[in-house]
Amino acid sequence: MIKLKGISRFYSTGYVNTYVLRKINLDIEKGEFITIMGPSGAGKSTLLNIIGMLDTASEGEYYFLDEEVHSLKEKKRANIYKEHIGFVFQSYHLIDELTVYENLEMPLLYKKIKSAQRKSMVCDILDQFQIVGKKDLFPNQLSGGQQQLIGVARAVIASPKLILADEPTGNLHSEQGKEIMELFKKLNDNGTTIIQVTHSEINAGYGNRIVNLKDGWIVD
Amino acid sequence: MFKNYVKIAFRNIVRHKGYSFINIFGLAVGLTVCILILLWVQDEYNRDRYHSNLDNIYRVNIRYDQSGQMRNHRATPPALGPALKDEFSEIKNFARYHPRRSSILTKYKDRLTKENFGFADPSLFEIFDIAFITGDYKTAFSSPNSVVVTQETAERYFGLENPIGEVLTVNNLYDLTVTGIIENIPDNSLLNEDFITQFATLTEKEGDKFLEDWNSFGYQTFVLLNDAAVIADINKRLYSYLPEHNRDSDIFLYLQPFGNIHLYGLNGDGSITQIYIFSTIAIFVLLIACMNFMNLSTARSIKRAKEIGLRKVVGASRNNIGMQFLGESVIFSFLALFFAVALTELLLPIFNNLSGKQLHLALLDNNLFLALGGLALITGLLSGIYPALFLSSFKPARVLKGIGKSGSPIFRKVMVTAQFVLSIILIVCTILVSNQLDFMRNKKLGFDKENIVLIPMNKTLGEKFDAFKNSLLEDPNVESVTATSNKLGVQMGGSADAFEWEGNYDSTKMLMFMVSVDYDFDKTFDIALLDGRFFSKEIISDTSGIILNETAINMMGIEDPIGKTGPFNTTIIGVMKDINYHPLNLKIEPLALFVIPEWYEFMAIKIVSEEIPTTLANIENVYNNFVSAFPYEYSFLDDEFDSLYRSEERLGVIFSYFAILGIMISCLGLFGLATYSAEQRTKEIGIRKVLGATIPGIINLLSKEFMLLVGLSNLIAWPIAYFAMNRWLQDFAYRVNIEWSVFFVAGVGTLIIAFLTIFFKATGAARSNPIEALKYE
Repeated sequence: MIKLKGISRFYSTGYVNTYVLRKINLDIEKGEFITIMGPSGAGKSTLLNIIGMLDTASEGEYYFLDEEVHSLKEKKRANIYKEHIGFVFQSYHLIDELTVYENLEMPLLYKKIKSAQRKSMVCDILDQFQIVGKKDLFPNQLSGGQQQLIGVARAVIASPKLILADEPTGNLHSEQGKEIMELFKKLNDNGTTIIQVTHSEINAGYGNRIVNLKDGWIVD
Repeated sequence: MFKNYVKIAFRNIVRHKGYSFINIFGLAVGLTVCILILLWVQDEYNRDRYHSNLDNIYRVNIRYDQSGQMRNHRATPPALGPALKDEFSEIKNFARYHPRRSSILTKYKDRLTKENFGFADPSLFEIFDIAFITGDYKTAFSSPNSVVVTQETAERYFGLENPIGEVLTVNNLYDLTVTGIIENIPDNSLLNEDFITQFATLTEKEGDKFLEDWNSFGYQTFVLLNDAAVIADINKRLYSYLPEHNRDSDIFLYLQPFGNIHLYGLNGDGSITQIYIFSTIAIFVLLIACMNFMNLSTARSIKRAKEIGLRKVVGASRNNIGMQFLGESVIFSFLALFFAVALTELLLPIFNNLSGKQLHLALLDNNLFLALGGLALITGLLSGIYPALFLSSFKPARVLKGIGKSGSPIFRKVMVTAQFVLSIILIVCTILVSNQLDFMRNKKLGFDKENIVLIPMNKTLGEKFDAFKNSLLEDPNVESVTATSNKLGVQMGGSADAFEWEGNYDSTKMLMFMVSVDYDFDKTFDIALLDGRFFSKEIISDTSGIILNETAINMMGIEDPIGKTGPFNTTIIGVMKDINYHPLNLKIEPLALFVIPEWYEFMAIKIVSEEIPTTLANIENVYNNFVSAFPYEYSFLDDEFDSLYRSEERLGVIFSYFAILGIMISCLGLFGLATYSAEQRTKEIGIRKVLGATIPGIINLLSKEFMLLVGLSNLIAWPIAYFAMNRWLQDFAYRVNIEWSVFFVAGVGTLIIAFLTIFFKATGAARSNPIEALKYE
């Protein structure tokens, strides 16, 4: 599903290039649950962003579903991730001015899905996540765990093939974190590929493969 | 999707009230100014445009060389109209027209009033859309001494009675019978008359042949062309018409479209300049408001960065985001429009008072409705386009990490500078307009206009002139009494050309203005003679004497003029110093004084400055002892003089109001920016304070950048304002110098206002407890 060949990412500061990722080779099959681990500054988030096409690699080749992502125009790339990838963030990133219902609806709006179908999709997901009662609340009226629940719901509402989660439980206490991880596990069991970044060994335990990063290199 | 945008826009407006207030209020004020000006321009533009023949109606104007400068005038000889119609197949119809505004004394039963009378050919009603309510123009003018009245005048005079057949006595000379009622003519029309009568009425006084005269330039000639007429061709043939027909070798004719007359005037005195000036101001104020919007939206973009990043992550394209923010600014501008309409309704009475118009906001008028909608849309797009482009360029991976940008500081600096440049230009212009007005009011005119009482002449006064004069002089408070054909310094006098004088028997290209005066004119107006003497009652031959001004003598090139034969077969008995007998936008032209009692229009009475009310009462008593047929009225020459510059005065007042609005919106924006700057630098201020920075030090830190920008704005604005005002002042033959102190005042003023604006915000930030600021790190 995903093939990274010699991916590097550096930032030019003055005369020297500061490397964040170095010659990363990584194959990810459909249905895997990958955990990216490593100390702070190892390049975990950068790697996740490159996979999610929010960032571009400085060197190397990136194939997503046999598409040559590294040579695609930005617009085309955006279309791919819009279609196939869902994102979950450490700090939830819900829009404060929109209600739960409206936050969930937003990705569908940009996919130009018709109103009636949109409605049923949002209702399905509200149902599935058991948050129907919260649909008219604003994010700041919810606890962190509930907000992240919405965040995950929003990521999966359009049934993406891949979910990228950047420390999804980082801001949550352990009980809430566990619920979210169970949720990921369930999604993975249903066939969704998941890549998560985490510091937590416990969370890593939910996955089936760990990629360790250190100073931008993959280490075994 | 659209619903989602609208929803989020409204929730943002409610959530960030201060920001929304600054933006909506600023835009609303900008739009209000635009709406007011739009109404004003519409009124000016639509004046006299309702005639169905509009495109084919023209006025024949004359053009002549006045001391090396071509001047235009509307006065044509009465014989011109018929002659042109015979000769030009394109001319379908013509009408001569001679308005007499507030100067015809009309008597009905016991009522005596001054009215607007128009003398015209009946064909006026064929050319223009002036509809008859009762009667028609063919029957109305079938006999001389007939008059038609407007509906409003008819009601004023005759109430509910049928006015047809009623008789009015006019100027104690003619009895006119009302033969028709016409629709009211708009107040702002060139043809704004209460009464219209035909020239045949005048034959009793002027003789049968007066309409065949080629030499008295005192009539306006309107012509109606056929559809096939080519103006350029007609103008070409007309131009040399008078010379070719051996009438006047140096007076040229041309057509001016009727609908353009008030816009372009005759010698650049139309309202088009004011339309341009006012429109420019309106655009300035609106631009200032738009810039506020751009500045504040980009400055606070950090707050929206997360939303933008997120929207992009879940699939929004750059276009989606751009459209969203553009839509938001359009929503802002339509909200602002809503308030602007309310504000306009509120301010219209004041604006009407200022502009001397009767404007009203006809919201149900489709065109206006569309215009306002269009205005709001353009405003919204204009202010939204940069924020939309800027915000939609955010990279989601970065902004979601909290690395937000708050817009290019350079862009914001440019905007603040531009705002203040516009504001400062308005301020400098305001000061200079008012300087010029003061200058004109106080300029030494070469004659004394203070404490001069004017009484209009009438038949009785003319007959008992000397006795009346002597009675007035019995009052020790009356210094001197004279009579004149013109209000000195206020009214243009009649003029003549093609005259000869001793030593020059060629026809000349000089136009001489003529004023008829009574003895004691020099004493009353304190006029100085350079040579010779003034008219004396004791010397009978002075009735054929002439006094010329310096300019006339110089232009005629006549040496030792006293005793020589002057223009119009007179003897030159004196040379007077030049006086500004015309309004000050005109240069001093050649002037000749004569003693021709038939021409007198006003008595001028110089009184002492003490006990004015008593003196006035006494003058009225004397008047009433002499005259019973004409009501007493008087005016002060200096009042009339001041009212001359009312249009400039209006310009000045409107300028100053708009300048205040402009600077107010700019400061509002500055306040908003200072707020964001203080917010953004909370941490920096906290650290600095912990390290020992003082409160003045912090205030300095926060205000320095803005103050530099305002200073820079001054440097940019000054030359622009200088050139603009220099051009405006060119219209005045006598004008103020543009002093550097004007710029100094504007500069210091804006710096102080800007500093005060920032000061409040900066003080608050500087006083805040640094621990609070650093707690969240």
